[in-house]
Amino acid sequence: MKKTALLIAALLMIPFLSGISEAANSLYLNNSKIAGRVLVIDGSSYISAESLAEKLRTHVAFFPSSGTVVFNGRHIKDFIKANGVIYISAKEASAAVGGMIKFNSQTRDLYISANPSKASAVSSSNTPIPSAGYSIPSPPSSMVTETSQQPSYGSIGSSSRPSSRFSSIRPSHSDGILRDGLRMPSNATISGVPAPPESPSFKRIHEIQQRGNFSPKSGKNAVFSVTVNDMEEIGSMKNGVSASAGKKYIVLYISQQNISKDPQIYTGKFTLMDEHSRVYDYLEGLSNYWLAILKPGGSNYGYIVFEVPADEHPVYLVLNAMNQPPLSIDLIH
Amino acid sequence: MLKILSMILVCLFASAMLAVPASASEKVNIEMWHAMKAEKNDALESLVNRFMKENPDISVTTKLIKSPDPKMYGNDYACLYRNIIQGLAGGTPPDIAQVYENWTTQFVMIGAVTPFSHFKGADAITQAEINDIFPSFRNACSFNGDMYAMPFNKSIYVMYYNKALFSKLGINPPKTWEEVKAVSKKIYESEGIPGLEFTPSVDIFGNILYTSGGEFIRNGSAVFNDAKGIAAMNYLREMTENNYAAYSYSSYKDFVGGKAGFIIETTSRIGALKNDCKFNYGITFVPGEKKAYLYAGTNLAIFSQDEAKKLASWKLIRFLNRKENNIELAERTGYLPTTLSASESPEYKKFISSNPGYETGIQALKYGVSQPDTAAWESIRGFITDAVMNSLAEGQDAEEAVNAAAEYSNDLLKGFK
Repeated sequence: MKKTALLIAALLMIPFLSGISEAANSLYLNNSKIAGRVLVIDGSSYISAESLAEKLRTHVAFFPSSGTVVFNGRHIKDFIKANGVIYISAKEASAAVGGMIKFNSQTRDLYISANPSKASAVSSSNTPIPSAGYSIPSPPSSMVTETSQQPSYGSIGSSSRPSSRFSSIRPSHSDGILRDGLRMPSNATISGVPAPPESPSFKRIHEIQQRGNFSPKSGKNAVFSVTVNDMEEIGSMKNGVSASAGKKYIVLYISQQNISKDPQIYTGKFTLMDEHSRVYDYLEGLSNYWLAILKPGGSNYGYIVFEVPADEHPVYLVLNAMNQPPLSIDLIH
Repeated sequence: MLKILSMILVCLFASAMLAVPASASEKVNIEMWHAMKAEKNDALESLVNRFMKENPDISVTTKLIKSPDPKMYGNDYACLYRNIIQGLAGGTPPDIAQVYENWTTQFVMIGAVTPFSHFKGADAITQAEINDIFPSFRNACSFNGDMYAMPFNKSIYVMYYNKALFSKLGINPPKTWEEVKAVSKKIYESEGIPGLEFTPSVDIFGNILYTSGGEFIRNGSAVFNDAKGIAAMNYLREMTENNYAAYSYSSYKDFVGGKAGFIIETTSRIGALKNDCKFNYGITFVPGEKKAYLYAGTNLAIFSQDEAKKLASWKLIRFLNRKENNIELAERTGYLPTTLSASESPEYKKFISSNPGYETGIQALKYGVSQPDTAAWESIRGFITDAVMNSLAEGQDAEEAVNAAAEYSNDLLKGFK
């Protein structure tokens, strides 16, 4: 019934869109079926970002000021917004979690395998994280494979499709979205369309202000609990090392605890994300946070230093650890 | 008939294929990760090549870990450590690698490194070999009565002084910290340069602390904020406030440029000093009431989980520890021999007779003190360095500075328990 409705909707939208297809039947994350809509448009799949983020325990944010979506610390270029729901390109979502997507054209099911630590290696540039040690479930071999690295997209979209095609879509109330999954050409204007309510989880960023006292922020996943105890902005370190011209240092005083039952050998890598979704590695040479093997219950403590443009504001601290979805600490709220 | 013939041929071919690579497959390949650059890397490569000639069934690949940008990634050894733990977590550790004592503590905790008692029979370490290792080095590599690492590239803190300047002013190298103050005052007042110049870090604080009878950590708690620690920090403040001493990140360069009377650095500087220093210089013990000299440098540990690779790695360690190789590494790199037999050998004695300063290092080793082996040590080093900077550069009260660092350190020590 849903398929039929979408097809009808698609047919109605033919003057505006080409290549509209029906939604995928089911969405699987690491071989487990999860709730969340998948739309197929112009041969490309779009997933409800919020559903996926919730399952991965990662973060998705919509930045009205810059008209961008950030998922798992990665800037998503190809997305649509409908009725307050953000749908992000399955291909880019997959890249953001360092995994791959596979689409079974017979059952029309979409499979995503997530490898969050690998995603962190892509988004940050420090020492390479070994590829061994991950367990990425393998969907049935009959499926068409789409990876974030190789543009062999099979039945899901086209590698020649430029992501910039959608860069001019402003993800605001006048973005031309009429109904789920159906998108206007970017230059179209629509009148009389009620503005969809904005999802509270996407209300971020605009109101960043220079903070005074910082109250500790915490977050946890199944393995780690992380607390940012304090944050300060400085122009130079005590040892006299100054930030580059036009930049400043953000110092985060953090503690990290292993709340799992197993020792954690590599406790992950912290990155900082600003309001324009730029991701920064911390300066290990200026920081005092020495990675250590953490026993169950064990905790580490120290400070990490980031260099960011002087007019930027840190928004999230993200921990990317092996075999775990990224852990984002909201530094604003 | 043709089918049978074909099958026989296939079988014969398969047998031949299996037989041919047999000898090649017996060769054991091991990977060694280290952070020794330049002439130190050359010396290691040369020794490893000789090892492979001696052991044609073992192939060693050395991997030099270098930091592409110390500000961004930390120093070479920080990168080495990160690579090791990422390798362990990902199931791809090195077979053998350089490790500090506080790293080894963690690797022992999770069973990532092989104790030397694992090797039996002809491959077992002998009591003579164990006794030959400098006791302080040996103790620092031992956990629960077993050795898990072999001392490798070691150096110890000594004092380098401008002998020409001391002669000119009629002063002798200071033997106590009070003498350091007096000598520095004289140098400053007559020459306008600091007597002592140092890098503002945990190391200068530690050198004063230990030679004054203090310690960083005792029974699992930070104790560097006791009376001796506070006195050490106050001493540094007084020295710098009076210009008798100066802190900088170029103390070595300033010393060889004649802009400081003396510096306290490890013996790994001796080789470079010979080329860099244009005046007559001397090397002596770190001053202080107590002979307790901090040493630096790493050890070698075996990470491989494969028995053949473990044994091959162990053979390489024993090869490097052999007297003649220990001497060669020391002579080519400036590191100290790690065994008594090497340090007392006629060959090495001949070397140090023409390379003044090494003798001081060897003598100091008898009183060598390992840095703490707690997993928290690297971070604690940072806290103490911050305390030094807070006190010297920002005027924080010495007691407050060391107390704050000790408080952070104890939080960390509790977290790692």
